[in-house]
Amino acid sequence: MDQSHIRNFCIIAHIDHGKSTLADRLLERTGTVSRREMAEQLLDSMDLEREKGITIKAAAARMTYAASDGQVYEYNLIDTPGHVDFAYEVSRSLAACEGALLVVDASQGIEAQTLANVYLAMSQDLRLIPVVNKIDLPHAEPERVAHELERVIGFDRDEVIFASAKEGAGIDEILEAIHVRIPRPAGDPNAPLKALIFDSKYDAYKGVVAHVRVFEGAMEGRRSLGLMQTGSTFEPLEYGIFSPQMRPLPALGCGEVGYVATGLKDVAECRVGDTITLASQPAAEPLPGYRQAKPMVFAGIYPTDSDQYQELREALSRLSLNDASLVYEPESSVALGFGFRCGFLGLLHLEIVAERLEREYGLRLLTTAPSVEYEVTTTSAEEIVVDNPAALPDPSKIAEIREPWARIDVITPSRFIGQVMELVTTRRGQFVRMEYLEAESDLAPGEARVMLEYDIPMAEILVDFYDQLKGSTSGYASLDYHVSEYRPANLVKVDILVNGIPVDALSLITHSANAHREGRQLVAKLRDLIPRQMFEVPLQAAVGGRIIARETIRAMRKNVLAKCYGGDITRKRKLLEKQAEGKKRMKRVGNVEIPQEAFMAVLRLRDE
Amino acid sequence: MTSLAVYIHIPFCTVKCGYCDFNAYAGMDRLKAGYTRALLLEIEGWREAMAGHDVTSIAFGGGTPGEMPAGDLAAIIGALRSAGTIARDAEIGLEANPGSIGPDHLCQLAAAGVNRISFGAQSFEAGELRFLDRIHSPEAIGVAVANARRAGIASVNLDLIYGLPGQSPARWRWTMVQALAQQPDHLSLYALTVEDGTILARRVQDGSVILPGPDEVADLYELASARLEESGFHQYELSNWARPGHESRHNLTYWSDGDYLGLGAGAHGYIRGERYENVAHPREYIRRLSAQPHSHRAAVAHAYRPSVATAMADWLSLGLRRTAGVDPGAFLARFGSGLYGIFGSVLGECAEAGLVEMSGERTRLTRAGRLLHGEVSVRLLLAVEESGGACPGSLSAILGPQG
Repeated sequence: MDQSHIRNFCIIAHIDHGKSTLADRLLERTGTVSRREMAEQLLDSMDLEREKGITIKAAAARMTYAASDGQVYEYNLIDTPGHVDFAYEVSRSLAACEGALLVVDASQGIEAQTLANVYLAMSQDLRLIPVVNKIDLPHAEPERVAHELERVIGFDRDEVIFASAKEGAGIDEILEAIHVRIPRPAGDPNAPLKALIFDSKYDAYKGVVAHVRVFEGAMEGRRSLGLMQTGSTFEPLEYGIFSPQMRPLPALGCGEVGYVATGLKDVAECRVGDTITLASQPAAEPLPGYRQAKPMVFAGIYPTDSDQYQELREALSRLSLNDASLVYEPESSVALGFGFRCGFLGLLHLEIVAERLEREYGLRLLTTAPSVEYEVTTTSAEEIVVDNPAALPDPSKIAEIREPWARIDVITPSRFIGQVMELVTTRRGQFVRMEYLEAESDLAPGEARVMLEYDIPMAEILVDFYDQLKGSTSGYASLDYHVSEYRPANLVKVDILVNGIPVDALSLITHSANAHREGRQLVAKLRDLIPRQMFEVPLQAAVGGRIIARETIRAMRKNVLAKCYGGDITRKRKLLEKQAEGKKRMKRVGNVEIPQEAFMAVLRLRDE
Repeated sequence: MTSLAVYIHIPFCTVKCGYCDFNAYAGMDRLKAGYTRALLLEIEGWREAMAGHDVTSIAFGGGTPGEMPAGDLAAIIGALRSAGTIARDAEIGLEANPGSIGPDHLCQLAAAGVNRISFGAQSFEAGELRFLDRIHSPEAIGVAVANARRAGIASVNLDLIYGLPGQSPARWRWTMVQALAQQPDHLSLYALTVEDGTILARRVQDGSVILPGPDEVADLYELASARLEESGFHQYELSNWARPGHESRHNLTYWSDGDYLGLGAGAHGYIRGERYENVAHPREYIRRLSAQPHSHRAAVAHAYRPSVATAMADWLSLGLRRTAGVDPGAFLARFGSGLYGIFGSVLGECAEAGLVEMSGERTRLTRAGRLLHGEVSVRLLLAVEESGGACPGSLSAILGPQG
């Protein structure tokens, strides 16, 4: 297809604003996928994605559209991950497009994360088509949302398309707008090959399959290809497109979107954002914007049963084939034995990985409390990076600790400004600015939406910040964040001793002003979370060897089954087996059995 | 002759108590005659298998066997006598509700050979009895005990339940004092257990019943334990106390890995290493036996042979219920491997925590360990599971001292 008839676009939408339904409708209306296939395709998608209602991995689809101008167009829809943890992946997906459908729920309006993606798209010169979706809903306020789009982003009123993906309304208008409004891909078909990798996944037969957008030149034949950032080279095994299943084609032309099977065995050699070129005739410059995926959140993953260590290693290596942003390295803990320190893009990413390891690989795992990455300058002027509280040097050896800060945007109706302010300031946040997205005069008092910007330590928003934000704004607030800088902080490590033994996996790093309170709260929480043992167990919190709090778990006194009635030994044994299963889920530290929840107790200190 | 215990399940009750999840049914009394006929057929089916065994105990449990016509129970005992050898001193016991068994009935049972009766007294507080849905009054217990004595029944047991909602140590002491005043020969004390699917479970779930915590229940146990010892009772199992010579031989069979037949609906048996369970519903039980009258397996719903590992864990866990504990030599004789090879480190840990004592001949729970039998058992179960049932020392046991 010549470039003038190609359109590459993606959909920007908040979770639940109807992105998938709209994509399904487009595939259906263009005859790419039948209704029946749609259902099957849904069944094939990852369980976790469906359960969490989010897209974890990007996907792409090519459609053929016979337009009202009598021309036939090739539409490439590039799906984008829908969660703030995957912001970099989103940016690469956007980079592969010339335009985007901006889908906003007619009853919800613009959300913070959507806005962040809009700005991202604008900075990459994407042409946006605003779509107000779900106009069929009883609470829909399409006019108000259209007005918001006008005010906040600066669309013209008549650019806005009103749609109901669920009922099929507005779909034709959207399909027409795509070829009319979104520009054709630029790029010189005769220049040396430049193709952007916006996603990749591992296939047992074809090796790493890179999802690509061809910017210059074309991909064809068997000539060796190279990756400009990692320096790897490979013989392409196959080219093709997604429709939406993989369909081989002899070539991918300039401006087209598709895949190349690389035969590479390691997804890390074929990273999102890298540029593919010809090995023999490389392009002068790679495409801009490449960034190594940078984990933000770190946690230890340990098998509860140390016999599963090798299986865990195998599972991580297989999982990371498909997920270049998952990094891991062996780690050992005095308390937990051998495991892995893993880096994640965010907490959701951590949850997904831990769940997949357990479900898909049948492992029983223990995850330690997540941590951010601290920078430490030692007294001997050495610079080290600490992503595990247990690894923080002795206070006497620390000249300075710096922690990561994030810039966050919160969008909320103005009546919740007070609550948001309070939440952010109790977490060491600093107010940056505030902007009304709607004129207050047009609306009932407190209804106008406002965007609040703060700087806040990453560690403070790591865990339950989002839930708390939702809770204190009746679910109205939305959040976007990005890491901004490292700032020095007065941080100390609080050690926890269980039965006199320091349990490194329970340590926490906290602001020194909070150390006493948090130490006390943590041992109190642990007292409730660690079941009573056969003997009394003292729990202590210490800072630099000085005990700051103490609790005692009393010895258990009663665990006995009543009579074995009428000789029913089997039933009695089943009850014991159930208890035994519970025990297996716990980690033995010294001679104390500690359940998974205890290692997460540090996350729940704020419930107090 | 190997010894054999026989358990006979009588699944009928006047009222089904809210805490009870035993195989018992109210309002099915019209099935009783057919049920007795089915039991007689089942006994007939076992005739061959019983040969060469010495029946040392017969126990009627339920349900409420005390509400079965005495003639039916006599016929069942008679059928067992004709099917096999009953030891002269065999214990023939029966569970009864103190409120629903009269003097004549007790005399007829004694005449049929019943020499042990166990009354479901449960409490001497009227309010507590109401809470438990029991149909008898506290006074009825004394009357029933006196009638049993008069009928010449040699051994009288009282079952009591503790750990009831709001039960203070003082109230529990009162029940103990009253129970001891009846001069029973044996006492079984059971902590109230919330079983899934019972009315009690629902009431606990919805918060209308609040049960005491484990520490309070432990206090009640210790209080009773001390009281009973002062009164000349000897604790021989976690929940059982007896005057000398009145230990229940039937129950000791369960804890000592002995063979027992289970007859009747939902009964459990354990014979020659196989455990089996009969169909639970009395109507289905009757149907099965009339369809296959001469097979001892007619009513069996499920049977299996525990793995060596499971058998070891059972042996040890059950044996530790006895205050006498277990004999490591007996373990070696039974399994061909040393007790401490597999369980040594777990038993050692428990000993260190003061729950187990290992002294030469016997391994037993300490006084503190008695209330933590479950904890110890779970650890034993995990230990044997981890060892994969592999028995260090078993090779030498097979090869003998020369190997």
